[in-house]
Amino acid sequence: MKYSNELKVGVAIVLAVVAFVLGTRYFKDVPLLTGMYDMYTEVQDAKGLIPGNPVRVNGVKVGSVRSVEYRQEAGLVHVAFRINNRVSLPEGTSCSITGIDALTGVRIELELAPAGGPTLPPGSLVPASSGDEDFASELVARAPLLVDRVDSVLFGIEGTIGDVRQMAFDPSSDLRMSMAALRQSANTLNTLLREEKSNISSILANVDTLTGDLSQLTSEKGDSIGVAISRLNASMASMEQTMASLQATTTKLDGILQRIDDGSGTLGRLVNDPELYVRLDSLLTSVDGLVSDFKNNPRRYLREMKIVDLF
Amino acid sequence: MTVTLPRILDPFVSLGRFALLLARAFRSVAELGRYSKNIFEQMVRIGIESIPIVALAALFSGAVTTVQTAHQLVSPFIPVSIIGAVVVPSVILELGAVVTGFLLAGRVGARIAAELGTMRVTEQIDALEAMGLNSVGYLIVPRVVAGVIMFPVLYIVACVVAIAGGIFVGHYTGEVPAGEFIAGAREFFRPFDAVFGLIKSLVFGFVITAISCYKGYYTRGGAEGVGRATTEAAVTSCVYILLADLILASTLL
Repeated sequence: MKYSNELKVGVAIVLAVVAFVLGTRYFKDVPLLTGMYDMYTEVQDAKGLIPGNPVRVNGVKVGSVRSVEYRQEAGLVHVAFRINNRVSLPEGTSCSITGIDALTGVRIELELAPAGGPTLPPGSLVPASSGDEDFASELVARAPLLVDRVDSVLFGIEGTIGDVRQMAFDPSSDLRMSMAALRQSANTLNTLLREEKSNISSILANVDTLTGDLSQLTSEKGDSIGVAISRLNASMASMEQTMASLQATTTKLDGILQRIDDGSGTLGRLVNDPELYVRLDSLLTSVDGLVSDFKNNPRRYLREMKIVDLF
Repeated sequence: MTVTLPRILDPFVSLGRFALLLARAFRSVAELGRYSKNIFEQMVRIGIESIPIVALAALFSGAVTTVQTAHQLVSPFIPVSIIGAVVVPSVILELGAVVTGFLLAGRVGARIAAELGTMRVTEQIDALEAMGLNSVGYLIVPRVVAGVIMFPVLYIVACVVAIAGGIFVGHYTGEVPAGEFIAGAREFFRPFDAVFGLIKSLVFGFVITAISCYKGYYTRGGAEGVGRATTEAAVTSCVYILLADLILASTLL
């Protein structure tokens, strides 16, 4: 089936018009299908409210501001806004303009009266409440209190400063006496400096000469200092070697001692076997007896001994 | 006696000829009913058949605008919903109409100029006149009327697709959630922007079709002349779109 050109064009135009109308409503934040109704309020201060700002109930958006205009004859700002058909405003509902312009945007906050009673007809006035204060107005309300407290703080500071001043000017106060002592010390120091000026300058001159000499020494004898350092380096190196061999020796000695301690080898047994000591002791006792006997009766032993075999 | 005018006056001659052609066209509007079949054919060619390419271009321009706006917003103090508040007015005010205009200057303008130019160099227009038909009423008026009616339609298509593309790309690249985008767009939406965009597209439709018809209608010099007329129609339409854009923005906004 071939569609006629007229049909194609007609369908395209209708679709475009529908898209335009719905798109505009969508971005104007007007519900696409359900309707809205107008209400208005009158306030002293619009707080920067502009058309398009949201109207909220309990933090939920239910409409938007249509127009904000100042009416000179009444001296009030007339704010017209639209509310979604699904939300009805019971009588006794009030509204307030809240929010800070630069931070969260200004909005109208509706405070619905309890449902059940008669509702406000479209196009009627929603009274602005003065009870609900936002952050900024709260700040303003608290300002006098704050001022009082700042005042008392300042009063306290003033008292403290008065005390300090009194201490500074009363000759018997601690501060004054400390200051006087400090001044005396400074005077003494001053006098001392003046009297010992020549000594101090000569000391300084000596220090100067000393550092000069030292500098000359290092620059002149730089080579020999270098040689000395290199020799010292060599000595250190050989010392290092010595240390290494000493280390090796110690390790070996350690091994030997270990073995002695273990009781292996002659020396080990000598050290560790208590029986040896006992036997040695009895041997020595016998030898002692033998020697004393020998002393008493040498003939007994010498009888058999030829002293001079030669003869 | 013909007087050779200095070349410096050529633009004025062209403007005068253009104005006279338009005047003839307006006089022929009365005969519009006689050529209604022709009008619908032109509407389909200029409008309906251009929808796919316009939608494609709009999709990408919306998506690119979103991504680039997101790229430029580096401060953590600026809410991401600002992206929606930047992209939607840009599309409605400028991109929707101008991108569509440029595309159609190439697609529609060149076609109109080539058609009319060929008819002129093959003397078909002279033949129409000889048969007693009003060539301007038959050839030019339906095209211009079709352009003026269908361009706003194409503009709406472009806006819808571009904004949808922007929301889609912003949402799925994670730059800005769809809800934030729309919230930002709503916060700064002014209904007059959409009306202004419609006015722009209407004017662009007229500029493109009228200039292309003029270039085609006054083609001279055989096949080469047709080629030149086609090029001139596309280029001149683009230049005058920009000029009309500036004039409209400075007078209506």
